[in-house]
Amino acid sequence: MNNPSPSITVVRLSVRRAFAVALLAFIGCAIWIAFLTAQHGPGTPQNVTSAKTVVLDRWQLLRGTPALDGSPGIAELDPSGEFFAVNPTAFDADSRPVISLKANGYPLNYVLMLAWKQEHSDEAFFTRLQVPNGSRQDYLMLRHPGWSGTLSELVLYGYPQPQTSPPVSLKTPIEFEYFRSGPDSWTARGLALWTGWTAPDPWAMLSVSSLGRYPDLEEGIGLVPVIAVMVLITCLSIFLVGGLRGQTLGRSVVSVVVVGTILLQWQFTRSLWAQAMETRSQLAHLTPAERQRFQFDQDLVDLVASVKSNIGRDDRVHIVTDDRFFNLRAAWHLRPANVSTFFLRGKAQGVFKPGDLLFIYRRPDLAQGITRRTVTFGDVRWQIQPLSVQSEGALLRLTNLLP
Amino acid sequence: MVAGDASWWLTAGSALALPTVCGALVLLGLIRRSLNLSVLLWCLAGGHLLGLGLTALIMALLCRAGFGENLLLLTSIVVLVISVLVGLWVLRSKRRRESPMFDLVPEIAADSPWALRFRQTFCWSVLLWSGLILALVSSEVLLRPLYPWDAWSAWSVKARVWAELGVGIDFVGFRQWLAHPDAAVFTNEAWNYPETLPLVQLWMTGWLKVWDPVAANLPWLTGGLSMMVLIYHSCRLFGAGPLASSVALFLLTSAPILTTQMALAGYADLWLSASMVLFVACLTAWIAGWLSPAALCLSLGLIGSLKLEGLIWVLVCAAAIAASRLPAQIRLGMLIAGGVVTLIWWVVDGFSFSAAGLEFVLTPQLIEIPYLGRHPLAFSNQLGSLFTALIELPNWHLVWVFGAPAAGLAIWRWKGTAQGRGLSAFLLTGLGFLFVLFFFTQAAAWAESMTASNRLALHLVPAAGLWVALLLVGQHSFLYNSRR
Repeated sequence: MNNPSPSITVVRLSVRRAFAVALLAFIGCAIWIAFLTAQHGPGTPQNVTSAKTVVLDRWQLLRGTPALDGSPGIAELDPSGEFFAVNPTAFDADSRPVISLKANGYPLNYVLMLAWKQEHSDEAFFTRLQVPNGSRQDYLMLRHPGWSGTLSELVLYGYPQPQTSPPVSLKTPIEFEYFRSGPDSWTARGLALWTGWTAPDPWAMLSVSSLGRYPDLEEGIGLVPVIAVMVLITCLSIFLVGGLRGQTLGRSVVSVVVVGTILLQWQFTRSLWAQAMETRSQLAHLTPAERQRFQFDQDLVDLVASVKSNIGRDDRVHIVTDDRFFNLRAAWHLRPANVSTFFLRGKAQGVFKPGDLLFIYRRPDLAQGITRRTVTFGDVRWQIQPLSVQSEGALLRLTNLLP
Repeated sequence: MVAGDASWWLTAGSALALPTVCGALVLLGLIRRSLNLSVLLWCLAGGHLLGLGLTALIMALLCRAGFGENLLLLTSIVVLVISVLVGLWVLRSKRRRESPMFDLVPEIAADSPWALRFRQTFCWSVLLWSGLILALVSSEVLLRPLYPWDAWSAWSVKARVWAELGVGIDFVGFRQWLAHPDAAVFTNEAWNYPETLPLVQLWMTGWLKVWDPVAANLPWLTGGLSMMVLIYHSCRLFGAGPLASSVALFLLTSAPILTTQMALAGYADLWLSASMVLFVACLTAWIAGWLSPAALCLSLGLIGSLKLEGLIWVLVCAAAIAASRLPAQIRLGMLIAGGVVTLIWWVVDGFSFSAAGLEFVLTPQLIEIPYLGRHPLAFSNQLGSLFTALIELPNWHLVWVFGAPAAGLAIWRWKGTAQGRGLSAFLLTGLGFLFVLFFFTQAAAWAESMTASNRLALHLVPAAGLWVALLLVGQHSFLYNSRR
C-alpha cells in the first residue's frame, strides 16, 4: 500500500475525477438556483396579505371574515385554527400557481396552513406549508385539485402541532415579510424544490414515528430520493467509467454514500439546531412547572392543579371529555391519582359506581346539569356532589343513581 | 433539587453510574481479551444497558419478595455487592491470563501525511458531529416536558405512580379495574407490558424523592450514546481502523428516526434497538471466540424484558444463533422439520391449543397469542406506504437504499461461514416478521398511517447494520485493512 503501482494511481485519479465532477455538478445546481432566487423570483409579486406584521394577540380579531362572494368564510367553516391573515379578494389561481412566503418568528411547533375557496362554492381547500422562518419558501400548487378558477378567499392560518398546544404566554410578534403569487416557470419549479429541501423540518408528535410527512405537498420530490439517485448515478459512473473492481470500487462507493449522507445529515442537523435553539429560548428560563404550562394546554394544567387536592388516595377517577387526546392528557396530569385512561364513548353509565369521581373537561352539555346536581348519560341520571367547578371543567363525586 | 443543578446531576449521575459499573464488570468478566480502551468502552456501553436491565430485575424481585418499602436502598446494596464480587472475580481471572493486561489500540496509519491528516480530520469530525447531535438532543430531553403519546399511555404511567405513591401498586386491565371492589389497583392501557422500563425510570427518579421526568428520560439519551459507542468499538474490536469504524458509526447512527427517539424520550423502541445492537455485538464476538455465551444470554434476556414484541425479536435472535452455531446436520434437520410443520399447518388449516391455561390459535386466517394479541390475517399491500416511510421521507437517510446491497454483499462474501449464516438468518427472520406484520395483520394500518413502521424497523436496522458493517470493515474484510 505504501508504493502503489502506476495503474492503481491512474484508477484512483479517475475515481477522484468522477467524484469531483458529481460534486461540482451538485454545487453548480445549488449556486444557479441561489442566483436565480436573488435575481428574479416567481413572476411579478402581488402582495395578498392583509397586514405586513401580525402579532399573535391579534389573531382572534381576524376571525370570521366572509368571502368576497358573500358565502361563509373559511374561518366560519373551520373555526379550529388561529387565523392571522385573511384576504378576501378575487384571485386567478390558474395564472398564478406559484406562491412564495417569507416570515420571521413563526413558532416551530405551529402548523402553518393555506386555505382558499373558489368563487361560488362553499367548499374550502387546505394545504400545509412549511414553516418559513428567516428564509423564503416557494410552493407549486399545480397539482392541487382545488387550485383553479377564481378564488374568492385566501387565508393563512395556524394551529399547534398535533399533541402540542398554544403557548398562550408567547408574545413574540410574527413578521410576514411577504406572501406573493406568481406564474409557473422552470425557475419557479426549481425554487419550490430547493426551498422545500432546505426548510427546517420542525418536530411534531408524528416525528416519533415518521419525519416530515406533509401529505398535502406531494407534488414535491423529497431530498432523500434526490440524493439517493444522485449517489446511485455517481456510483454507476465510477463502476462503468472508472473501470474499478474489488477493494478500490468498494471504498469509492462507500465514500460516495458517505458524502450523500453528509448532505442529508447537514440538513437534518440544521433542523435539529433550529429546534434546539427554539427550545432553549422558550423554555430555558422557566421553572419545570412553567414549562409544563407553556408546553401543554394551560387551561387543562390549571384546572387539574385546582381540582387535584380534592382527590383522595382511595378515590377512583373517570374522565369524560369529547376527545381521546384530551382524555389521555387529562389522565396524565391527574396522576398519580387512580385514573382510568379509557376513553368512554356512548353510554358510559355502566362503568360508574357510587362514590367514583368524575372529571369533566370540555363537555358543556354535561356542565349544564351540574347546577342541578345531576349528570345524565343516555337514559341514566346520577346525583352528584360538585367538588370543584371551573369554566372548562369540573370534578364531581357520583353519589346516587337516580331512578 | 432542580433539574440541572449540581446536586441533581450528582444524584442522577450516580443512579446511572452504579448499574453501568456493575454491568461493565459483568461483561469484563465474560470477555476473553486483554484490556484496552476499546474493550473498556465496549464493556461500559454494553454494561450500561445490561446494568440498568439488571437493576430493574433486582427491583422487581425485591418487590415480589415484599421489600417495597426501602426498594432503592436495597437495590443499591444488591447492585453494589454484585459489582464488588464480579470485580474481584474479574481481577482474579484477568491475572491468570497469559496475555498482557493492556494492549494498544492501533493508531491511524496512512500512506502519506495528507492522507493521514484527512483520516484524522474525518474521524474527529464524525465524533464531534455525533457529539453535537447528542448535545442538541439533550436540550430537548432536559428542557421539554415529557409529551410523547406512548409515554403518557404506556411507559411512564407506572413509574410516575410508583414514584409518588409507592411500588406496591398493581396495574390491571380496565374490566378488572372496574370490577375491583375498591381503589387498591390502578389501570392504564398498557397494564400488561413488561415493567423493566418503568422500573428503570423509577430507579432514576426515585433518588430525587419526587417524580422528575428529566431524570426519568435520561436513560434514553444514555441508551442512544451506548448504542453509538457499541457500534464504533465493536468495529474497532473486529480489527477495523478508526476511519472505517467512524464511517460505520456515521452511516448507521445518522438516521433521523434514531435521533428523534432519543429526543422524544419515553418510548421503548430506542432501548429495544440498543439491546438488539448489544445482542449482535455479543453474538459476533462469541462467534469470533472472544466472549462467553453468558453475555449473549444476558442480552437476550434484556430484549425479552423490554416490550411484548421483544419476545418475537428473541425468536429472531435465536434463529441467528442456531444458524451460526449449530452443526450442519441439526440445522438441516430443523429446516426440514420446520418445512414439514408448515406444510401440515397449511394442510390442516392451522392449530389451536391450550398451554398453561393460555389459548393459542395459529391458523392461516387468525393468529392469537396471549399477550401478543389477536391478529386476523388478510393480505394488504403496504409497499407504497413503507416505501414512503422508509425511503422517501427523511427518516433513514440512505440506510435502506444502500444498506440492502451492502447486506447482500456481506452475506455473499461470508457465505458458508458462521457469521454469514447468522446474518442471513437474522435478516430473513427479522424482515419476515415485519413483512407478515405489515402485509397480513391489522398492523397494516400502522404502516399505512406511518405511525409504527419506522419504530418497528428501528428495532432491527441498527443491529443488522452493525453486523453488516463488521463483516465489511472488520479485520478480514476486503474493504479495509486492520490499520485504517
